[in-house]
Amino acid sequence: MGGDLGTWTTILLDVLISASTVLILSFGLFLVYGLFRVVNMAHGELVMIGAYTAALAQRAGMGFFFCVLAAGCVSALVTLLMDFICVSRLRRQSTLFPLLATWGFSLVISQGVKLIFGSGGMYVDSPISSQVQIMGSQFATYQLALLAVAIVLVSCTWLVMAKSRFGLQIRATIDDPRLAELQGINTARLFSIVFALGGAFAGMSGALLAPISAINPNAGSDFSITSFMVLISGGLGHIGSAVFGSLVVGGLRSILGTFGSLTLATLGMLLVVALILVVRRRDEDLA
Amino acid sequence: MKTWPESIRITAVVALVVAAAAVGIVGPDYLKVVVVSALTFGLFAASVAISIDYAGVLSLGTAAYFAIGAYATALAQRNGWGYGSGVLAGSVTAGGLAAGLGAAGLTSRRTPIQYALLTLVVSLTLQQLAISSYDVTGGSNGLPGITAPSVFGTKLSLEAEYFVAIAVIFATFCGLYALMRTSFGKLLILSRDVPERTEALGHNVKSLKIFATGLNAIVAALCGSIFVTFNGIAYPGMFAALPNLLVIVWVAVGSGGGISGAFLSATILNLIEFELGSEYTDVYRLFIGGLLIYIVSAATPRFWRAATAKEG
Repeated sequence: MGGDLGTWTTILLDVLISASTVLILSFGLFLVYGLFRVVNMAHGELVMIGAYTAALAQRAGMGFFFCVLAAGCVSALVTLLMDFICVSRLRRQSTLFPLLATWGFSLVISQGVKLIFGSGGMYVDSPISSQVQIMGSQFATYQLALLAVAIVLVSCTWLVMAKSRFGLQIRATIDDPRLAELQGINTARLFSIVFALGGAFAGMSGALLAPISAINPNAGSDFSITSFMVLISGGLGHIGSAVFGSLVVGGLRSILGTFGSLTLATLGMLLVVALILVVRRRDEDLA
Repeated sequence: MKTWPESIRITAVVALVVAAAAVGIVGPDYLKVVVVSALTFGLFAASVAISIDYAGVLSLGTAAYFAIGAYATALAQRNGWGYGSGVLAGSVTAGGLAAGLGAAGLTSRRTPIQYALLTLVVSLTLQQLAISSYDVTGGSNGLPGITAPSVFGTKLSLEAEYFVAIAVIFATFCGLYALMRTSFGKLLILSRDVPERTEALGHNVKSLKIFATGLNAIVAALCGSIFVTFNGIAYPGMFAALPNLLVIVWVAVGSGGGISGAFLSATILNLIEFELGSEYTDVYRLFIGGLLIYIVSAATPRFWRAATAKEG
């Protein structure tokens, strides 16, 4: 019985660690899409920029915490530049235009990084290399720390959205942008802030995941596919949707990867995500 | 972005095909591969334009259909099942996948963004599957060494293969062009612009959209089959984000010009890419990314009004 409990605990922790990694990765994308219905197709590339920034900052002798901060700042600046060039204007015309424009930016960023740094990869050393034993199984302390980061991230965002003036302004803008403007809320500036925050989260996630991921100019595509799966399976709006989507994608990846093959895990994730899309009545059901 | 009149576009398409025929007679072998590949991408873009410009369905993962055709043909050629069975298997699989995705995502309950992302996720997932299923697909190396098809036990020469491919591409383009000029093409446009009225007239808008994406998938798979016989390899990168993005750029550049506009823009942009050579590939792709941003930003009033007119 004790052995069974240990096995189940290990599986549960594996699922939670995998889901937390996916949540950290996709949170910035989810934030912007959930609040303003804008899909940032360059999200994966912003994660990649964050990872490159962390690698360069670490090479320059900065501590890991400052590497994460620097990654967030650089990705936020790139996102603001995208917003300034066209996204802010396009989002008022259609939800598909920002999607296509940011897809163009994703290609510009990945090719730009390739031209500057070459096709070879970079690496970031993990700040914590120890392992801990839980119920007879070994877990990397760094991955458990990522689980804690994910919990803090969700809790803080919920608190900001539910309790702060900034969250109130965002909710008012989502409900009725015109009424919000009449109340003195600068909705365009609010979008720019949220869009930049999404970019900052993407950059920081790149720095946080860099010690356990491959970093190269094409890595953005791999980061994007996971994030988009979360977006499709989670649905719109509520922060719970992001957690649900991350549990589905991360959990399936962990379970199918453990008991089956990589092929099975990939195919299984796709089938379940498609099934959720078919079965769910409307996007708002999960909100 | 200024759109050429239709008469000029069609004249340009015919001129391209005549020039391609001339290359077949006097051009070197490498140029034949370049020209037929560019025309293949032209037909591929024309099929995507049916889905976007006529049916108003934006799919971000159409390269998957192209790649399925390429892999099916490569597998058939390698295992001796015959070229025709490979083309048929590729077309049926791609058409079936498009129908399945349409049934799941092209409903009033789903937003166009979700359908668009789903198609891209499917394409990227198939890329991962192609890499991980080493025994069947050759993994990251793909399936190289694909040779020309045989007719009655005799392998076609490059010249014969070239002219057959040009004829098939041109005939398929003419078929698509003729179909879009019939009442069916007009019905597709009607379902794009005024779906409620189209439903009121007794037509099933969802079925029309699924048919358009299915047709797109079948033609794209045919293009993949042609491509693999000339280039000799099917590889996982065919499913990647880049080819999916490139075809959107080709259609966007030819936007407003129907399938002939997409055909011309894809063919010409690919000939430019081949001419620039591999040393400028990264710079060229940087330019393509910038081009997409420019088209979406600067040409918005004309750009895919169809795909955005009735979004959820």
